[in-house]
Amino acid sequence: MAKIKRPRPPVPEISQASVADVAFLLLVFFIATTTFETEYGIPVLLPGMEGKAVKVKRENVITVRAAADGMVYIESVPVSLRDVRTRVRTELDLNDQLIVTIETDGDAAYQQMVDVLDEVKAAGAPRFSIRKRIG
Amino acid sequence: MRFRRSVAVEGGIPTGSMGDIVFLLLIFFMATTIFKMEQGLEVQLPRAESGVQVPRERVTHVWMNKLGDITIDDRYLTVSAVGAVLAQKVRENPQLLVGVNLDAGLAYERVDDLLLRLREVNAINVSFTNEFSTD
Repeated sequence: MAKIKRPRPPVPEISQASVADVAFLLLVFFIATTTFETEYGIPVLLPGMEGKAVKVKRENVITVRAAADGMVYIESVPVSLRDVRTRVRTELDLNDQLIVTIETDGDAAYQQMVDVLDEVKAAGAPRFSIRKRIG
Repeated sequence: MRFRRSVAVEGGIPTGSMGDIVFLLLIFFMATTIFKMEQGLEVQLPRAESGVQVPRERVTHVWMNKLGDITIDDRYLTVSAVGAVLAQKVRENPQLLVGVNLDAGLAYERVDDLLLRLREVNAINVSFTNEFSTD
């Protein structure tokens, strides 16, 4: 008697033909939505409110004022913004305990204060304070 | 004598590894994508060269435009309410880094007021967000 071969049951499988298409779609989505945004900031550690005021010697302090009219003064002497860096650097060479106080007029633009802060940072001043000019 | 013509070789770029490359790119984009959740305010950031790169994902942004409108997490706030919102965030994360995105034309008086509110709630780790500029 002739043997009758049973038909083999088909092996179930998941079609992977479209995996690459799906991956491409996702890839296009992520490429389209990704923005490599970098944020720059000048880091500052503000003094806390509980902290005691520290007394410092007058000769260790240099005051740089950002005035509302766009002028910059070091110890009441008008200077150009570019000179701030050189002057602070020179003072730091002479006195490594130097504290730079940045005083900004209340009606001066914020950019004015950032300009001075930028120069003071670029001069490498490790200690500085920021405050509003009173009076 | 008969010369046999050489058989023309079919040129082709193997595409077998394309799927792997696509997946690698996909993983890269998935890993690096951060979806922007905050709209912020329209501000013209000050320019500075001494700013350092700040990890965006670790920063809580405070926005203030030229008119003095303030937002945190896209919620409009008054300057007096800033303290309460940030106090909660500082409680959750004492090392909170506050990125202040302030308009370059903003009067410094307002900036000083904001910094005072930050100090009051011990949000002392501040970064003055700026646009990188070497001018």
